[in-house]
Amino acid sequence: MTRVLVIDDDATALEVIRAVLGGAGLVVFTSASPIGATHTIRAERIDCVVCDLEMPAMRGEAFAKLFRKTRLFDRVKLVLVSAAPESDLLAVEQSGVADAVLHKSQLAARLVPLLRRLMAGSRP
Amino acid sequence: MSATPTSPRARSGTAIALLIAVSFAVVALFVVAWFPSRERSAARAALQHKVDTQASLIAYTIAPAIDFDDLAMVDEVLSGASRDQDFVAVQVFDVSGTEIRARGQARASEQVVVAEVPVRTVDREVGSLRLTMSEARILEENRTQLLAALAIALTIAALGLLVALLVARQVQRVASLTEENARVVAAKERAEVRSRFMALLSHEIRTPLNGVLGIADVLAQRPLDPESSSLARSILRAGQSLLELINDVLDVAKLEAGRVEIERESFDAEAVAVGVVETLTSSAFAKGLVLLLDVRPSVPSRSIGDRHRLQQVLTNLVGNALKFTERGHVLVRLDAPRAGRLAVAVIDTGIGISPDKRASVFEAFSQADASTTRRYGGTGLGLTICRDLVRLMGGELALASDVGKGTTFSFEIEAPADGDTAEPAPTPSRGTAWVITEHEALFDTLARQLAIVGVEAVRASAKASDAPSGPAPSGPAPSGPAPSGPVPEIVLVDALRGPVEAEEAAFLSNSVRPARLVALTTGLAPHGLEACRAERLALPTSRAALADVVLGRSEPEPRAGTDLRTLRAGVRVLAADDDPLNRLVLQLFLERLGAKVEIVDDGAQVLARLERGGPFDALMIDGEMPVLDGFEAVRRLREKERGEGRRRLPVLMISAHAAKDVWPRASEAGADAYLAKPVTQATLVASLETHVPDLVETREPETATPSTPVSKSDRHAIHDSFVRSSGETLAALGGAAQKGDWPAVKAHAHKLKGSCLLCGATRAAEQAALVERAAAAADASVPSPTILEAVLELEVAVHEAHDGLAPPP
Repeated sequence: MTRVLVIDDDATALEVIRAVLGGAGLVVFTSASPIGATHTIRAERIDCVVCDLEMPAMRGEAFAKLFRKTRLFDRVKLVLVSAAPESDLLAVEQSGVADAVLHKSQLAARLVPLLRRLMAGSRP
Repeated sequence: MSATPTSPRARSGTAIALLIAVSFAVVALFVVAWFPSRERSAARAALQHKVDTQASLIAYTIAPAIDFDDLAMVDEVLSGASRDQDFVAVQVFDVSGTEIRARGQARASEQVVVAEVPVRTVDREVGSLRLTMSEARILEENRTQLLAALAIALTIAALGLLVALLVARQVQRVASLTEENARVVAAKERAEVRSRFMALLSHEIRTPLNGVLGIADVLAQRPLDPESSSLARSILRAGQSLLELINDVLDVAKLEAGRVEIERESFDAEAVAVGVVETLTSSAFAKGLVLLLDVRPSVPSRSIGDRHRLQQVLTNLVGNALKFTERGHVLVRLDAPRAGRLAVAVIDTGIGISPDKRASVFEAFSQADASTTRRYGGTGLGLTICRDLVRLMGGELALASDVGKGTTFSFEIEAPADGDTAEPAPTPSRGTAWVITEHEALFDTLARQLAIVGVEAVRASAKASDAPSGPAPSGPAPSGPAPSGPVPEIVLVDALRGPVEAEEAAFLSNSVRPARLVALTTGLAPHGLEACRAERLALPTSRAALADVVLGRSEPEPRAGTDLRTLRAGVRVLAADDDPLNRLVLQLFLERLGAKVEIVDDGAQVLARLERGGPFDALMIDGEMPVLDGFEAVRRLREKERGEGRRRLPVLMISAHAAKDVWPRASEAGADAYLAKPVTQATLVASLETHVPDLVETREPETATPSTPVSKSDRHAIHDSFVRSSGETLAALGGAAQKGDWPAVKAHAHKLKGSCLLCGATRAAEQAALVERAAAAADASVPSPTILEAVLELEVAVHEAHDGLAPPP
């Protein structure tokens, strides 16, 4: 069963995503900050991280870059979500720091299929 | 160096000179213009006064004559008046203005002074008088004055010009000197700043490098698989090269800044050379080269000079010679050709240096060929350092080379003999010794040294085919008769490049059968004559040691092998270092030497631990530590020992600083010895052996047991502990970071840094240090993206270390 860590400083957004993913049968862990995420990912054997791109204390992009740099998370997928204009998200997507970038307005409809596709792609 | 014409100081000098010249010119002009004019005015006023006075006098005199119409009397008076030197004319008029008498006449061009006065009797005016006098005499006098003034003015002007030129030259000279001085001062300051920076930098680099080298040393000695073992040795080699570079750069910086001072102390030049050659013998042996030492009889037993600098130069030159020699030998020769001078030559049979490259080899970062660096390594600084050090010691480093045949570096330094320099009495002949070697340079060296003790060396071969009845000459023996007589009491056999072949050994043992068979060996490998009960003489050695062996005065000691020295069973060592990695290295080394070790973090803990009792045999303490540094801790320890009449605990001070900088402080504090970082097992045991010999013992080679590496279970326990404690600290750190509690972040980061260093997680330790610094600099209790990102990176680095450092299952 796919295990997902959701990182967002907005408690409401966390609950929404938890509900969407939990409803689809995924195991969901949440965190209000990327701080501590490394431990959670390793300790809980997380398959995929869904991280807010724009948090006041720290941009999700910094986390994404670090995520890509280390070999610790070679097998972990990363999806960045944001409420920023789609044109901005396109630039982030093109930078390749994440496996996928999704606008928050499309979470309910597209997140679960996206994660299933990513996870299917990651398994032989 | 002269000042440039456009320099501000030079321009101001010119301006001052110009001002002086103008001032003098003004004075000269004043003299010319004012002085004659003033004199002329004064003379004219005097003449006017004279004319007025004389006119009044004449008028007074002639008044009665005119009243009585006695014109003859008037003429007589006028005649008298006309004899004045300035007289021009005089006219007398009656009351109606008609001229009644006159004498003389003024020329129109003539400058004159005129006085007109009435001629009066007591009660009435009877006429008038006009007296005219010439200014010619005044003008003449004035002209003379003008010429004098002009002469004075010209003199003043000339003087002015001269003074101006002198001043200008002087100002320019002062300006030039000032600028030169400023340049020298600035250059010195720059060199000083660079030197300080280099010293600081090298210290900062050497500290972590010490840890790397220590760990690599430990790793290299562990039973690893071949690939890991090769990697560990590569780390060690690379680290040592880096350390060599750092030391060289530091030396160059110090030399450039003029901060290297030459000591003048009594030392044994031969012992220095023996030490250097001994150190490098293993390198020579590894390349199949023979490293020889030839100390001439003229070299005094004690000289005055700088032992350390001579050692540094020799090490560098011999190391270089070994590097560039592929076959043959490297010979170090010490001589004292003149009183007060020590001549040193390092002669190799290497690749040589072509004439066009010889000048550049002494330049910093230069080797004869750029490809040389790639092939042979090295910083290219060694010869620059040697050249400068030799100059400081009163000599000049010279180079002679023959391409393909070899190179000789030689120098002579000031090194007056300390004590009696009388020639030793002639030694009585003590017979002959056969030297069995194919190496001519070895034979020459030995022959000279044996001759000092009265033993004649004869070169021989040990091939049975060469001499069925005994050793026979092998090649042209440089001196002495052919060994046709009886077998001498002693036969020296060359085993420097490897064990003597079994056939030769059997021949020597069965056919030659000398009373004493001595194997000449490096001490690094079996000599092949063990079965013949041969004595062993490790070369190179001092003249005295050679004489002792040859004359049978003592059995040669095996060369001090670091692998044979260990600590006496049950030795207890207290060690203090704030750096966890250094603590780990110290602990590993000491435990491998068989010591029971306790390690604390700082000087205060040292004192507290000693206060609690538990006798220790030695204290090894880092000089620089927080809370209480090593110097102060040792000082307090010594005070306490004195106050309480306690036994003096041997103290070894450890520091990454140079001995010269640290030892005076350490010694003053009460330390017994100084141990430079990077500490290796060999330097550690050597230092203990020197300063606390009771603690060290030498194992018999056959009883020496291999060191025991850290057990697998211990390594697992250490790793588990690291994962647990760093995980807890990371969690606490993360929580504090999200709250903006920077002091707590700083404290957790510091703790984490220590744990990471302890386990060799260098990158994580660096990241922790970065977080620590960032937290220390943060002044607001709001989450800072920069610090939070650094914390995030730290989390990743620590987790990577958890994986990377995990011991194999």
